[in-house]
Amino acid sequence: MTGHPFKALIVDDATTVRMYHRSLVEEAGWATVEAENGVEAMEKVLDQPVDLMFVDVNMPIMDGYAFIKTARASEKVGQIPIVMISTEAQKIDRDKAFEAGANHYLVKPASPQDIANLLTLLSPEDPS
Amino acid sequence: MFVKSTTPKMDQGTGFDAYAMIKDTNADNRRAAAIALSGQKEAFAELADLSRSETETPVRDAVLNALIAIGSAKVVDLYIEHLRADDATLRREAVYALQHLPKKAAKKIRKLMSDQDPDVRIMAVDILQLLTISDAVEWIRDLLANEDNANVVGVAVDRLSEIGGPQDVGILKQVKDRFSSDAYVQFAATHAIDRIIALEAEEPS
Repeated sequence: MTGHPFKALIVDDATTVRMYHRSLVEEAGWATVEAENGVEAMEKVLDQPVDLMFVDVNMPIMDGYAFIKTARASEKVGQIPIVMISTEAQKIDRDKAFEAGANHYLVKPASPQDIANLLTLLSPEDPS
Repeated sequence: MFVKSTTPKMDQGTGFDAYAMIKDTNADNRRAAAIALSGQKEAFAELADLSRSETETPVRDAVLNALIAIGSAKVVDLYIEHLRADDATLRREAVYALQHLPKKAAKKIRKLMSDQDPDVRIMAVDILQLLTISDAVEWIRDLLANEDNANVVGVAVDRLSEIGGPQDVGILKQVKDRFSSDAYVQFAATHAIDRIIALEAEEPS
């Protein structure tokens, strides 16, 4: 196989944050696709299969909570694991993410080790 | 998103009473009322109440536009209050509104850049992205000199790479030194320096 086996969608309105997360995810051998807000993310994920989504909270047009709820309601993409990544570190923020449908919650800035651990944990079973 | 209303608040022909309809149970009527009251300073209280409680997106959009059209200091204060809301939709609307009220909001945004809450500081820097304030670059430099939160530093570094210049490379190197163990700040500051250098190289001499 010449391409990456798995693909992650990275959703964040800040370009540098997306680039940072992309670099860490690609370092682990995953392919990536990016979106700037929830609406663009929904378009991307409906258009191409992804194995995991990293989602910011505060974004224009559609925020992270609304995106997760929309994705979870979709028959096509509702089962994809979602990691919410936020600057908000309170328990209430985690609870809101899980209530919306996130599988995991990371506080920004995520360390390379945080991302690597999650990719290992949430990797789909190797198709080979 | 912003639409200037031409609808009167009380239509003599149809008897449409915007002040009554803004509390109606029908969302279409509330939206029509918000549009009718757009830019009406005397309707601030009703629109502000609805900005806190409305759940229907089309009505929320109409209320947001109506309040921006009023554009008073009270509207700025209302949206600064919303920056601290638990509801992410309210926070998103607040950033949008304050970006569209540069003259009234500028001094208060400056103050928010030293707010106790780092999330408010991040949103203040985000708001600066669209504000055409000549002092913004100085504000970002001041923030970076003292800021301890990596997430705030990250967005500020981003902003500086957009509105700063070659003279800011030194500040960015200092940031890298101060946050030498933070991978995200290292990445953001390196990217910002590269961007400034690349933009400088593109400038015609």
